[in-house]
Amino acid sequence: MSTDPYIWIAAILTLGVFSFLYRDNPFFCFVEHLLVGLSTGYMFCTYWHNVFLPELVNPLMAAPFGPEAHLWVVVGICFLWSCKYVRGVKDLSRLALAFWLSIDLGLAIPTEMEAGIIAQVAGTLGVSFSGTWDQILGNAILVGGTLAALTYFFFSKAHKGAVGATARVGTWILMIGFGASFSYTILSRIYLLIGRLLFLLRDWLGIVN
Amino acid sequence: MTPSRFFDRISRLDRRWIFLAILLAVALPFLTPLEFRAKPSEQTREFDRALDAALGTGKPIMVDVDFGPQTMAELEPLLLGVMHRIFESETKAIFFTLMPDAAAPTRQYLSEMAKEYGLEYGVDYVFLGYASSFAYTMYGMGTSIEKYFHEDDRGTPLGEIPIMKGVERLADVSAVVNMASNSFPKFWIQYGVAPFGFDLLVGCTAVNATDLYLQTGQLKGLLAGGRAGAEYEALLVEKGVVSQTGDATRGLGSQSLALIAILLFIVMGNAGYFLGRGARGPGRDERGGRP
Repeated sequence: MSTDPYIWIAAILTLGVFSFLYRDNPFFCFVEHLLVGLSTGYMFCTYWHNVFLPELVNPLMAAPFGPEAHLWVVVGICFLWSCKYVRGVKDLSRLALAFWLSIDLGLAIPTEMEAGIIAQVAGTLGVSFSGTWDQILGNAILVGGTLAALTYFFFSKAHKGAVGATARVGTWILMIGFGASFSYTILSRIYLLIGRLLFLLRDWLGIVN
Repeated sequence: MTPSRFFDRISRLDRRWIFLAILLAVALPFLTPLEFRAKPSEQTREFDRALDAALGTGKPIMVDVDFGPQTMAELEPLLLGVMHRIFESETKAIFFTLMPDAAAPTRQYLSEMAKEYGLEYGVDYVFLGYASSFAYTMYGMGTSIEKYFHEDDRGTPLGEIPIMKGVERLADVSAVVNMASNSFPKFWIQYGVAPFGFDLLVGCTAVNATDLYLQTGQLKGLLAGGRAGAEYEALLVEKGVVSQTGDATRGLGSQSLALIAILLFIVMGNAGYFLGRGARGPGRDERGGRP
């Protein structure tokens, strides 16, 4: 069994979290609040020391009208954000929101078009139908499945006849996709439990090598 | 007890019995001498080939570590495998993170690796620490790394770090490896690979695996989840990079047994539902009413 006090603290808190599986209890509530408090404090300090001070305060304090003087615009936007808490001028916070959204969308739209749409369409159209039988079958399912799934979302024509049948195949393709996602999720969660149990059995209790 | 009554009782089972069964399924393999081994899949070998190609260029490699303690069990084996591969080949590596809670584990891993391989900080490897606003940082590093990381994790300006000489933007490194528990690999593709076109290798949690784009060539390699970790450990043993497999392989037995238990519960629950519905009559819910 471990003699390290940090391991003991971690083990006891882990058991506190697991105790919720039996029923809600004060020990779990304590651990839950401790986690929220620690996380918030950690994040606040991280942002304060890694972002707020070095990126904004220090450059402006060193040379208020030097090469980083454009940071005063950021200070102004921060004040605009804060206006939402002051009655009478709260609409000014929308200017900050508009500024943020315009930059975010300006960056996201062209890059998402390139990475998420054009490259994906090119990847689907450019598959090769040569090679071993399983590669050919896999690529045929990729192209056919994509077209069928897209047909499901094609609402300009009634889903009857050939369109309806294709859309139905598309539904199955989507369900298989969701199933794959769900099974991957289960795998992830099991590994998290494995990690915690290995910690309890090996690092804390020492009954596993 | 008739089968339908049995399955009906199963479908009403207190969920705490299910928790207990999963707990036992995960814990028991650790307490038995059973050994499970993973065989490296073609996808895992492809990841290693891509990493090998990057390590052979002579340029430093960048590693973005984006996972915290909560997903360590799944991603730690992947990161340690990649670290062994990098440092065993004597390639210089630049580490950084875009996730605040990843900084502390990364420092610890690097400290252990430095001891094991006798690495000199700043010469063989460096940790740039944390940078906020991940999307802007990913995009901005395509033109200037120093603009987003003024100094490293120890407060040394980038210009004074030997390993950073000649590394001004992402084009100056051989590849970027992203180990992430979130959607950052997808954003690296969007904000990094699409506009600047460098090689990206990804290790991610299984839950994120279906979001990524391997077949289009946007990723050069993908390792997803604990299973891929076990495969990569087996591959590194096969190549003689490490002498023995690690925690990902250790978890294979637990993973298999837990999956079998979950499948059994799904089958029994559904059987109970359908057999119970047959006994109640078509179109009736479990209380006998029409849904």
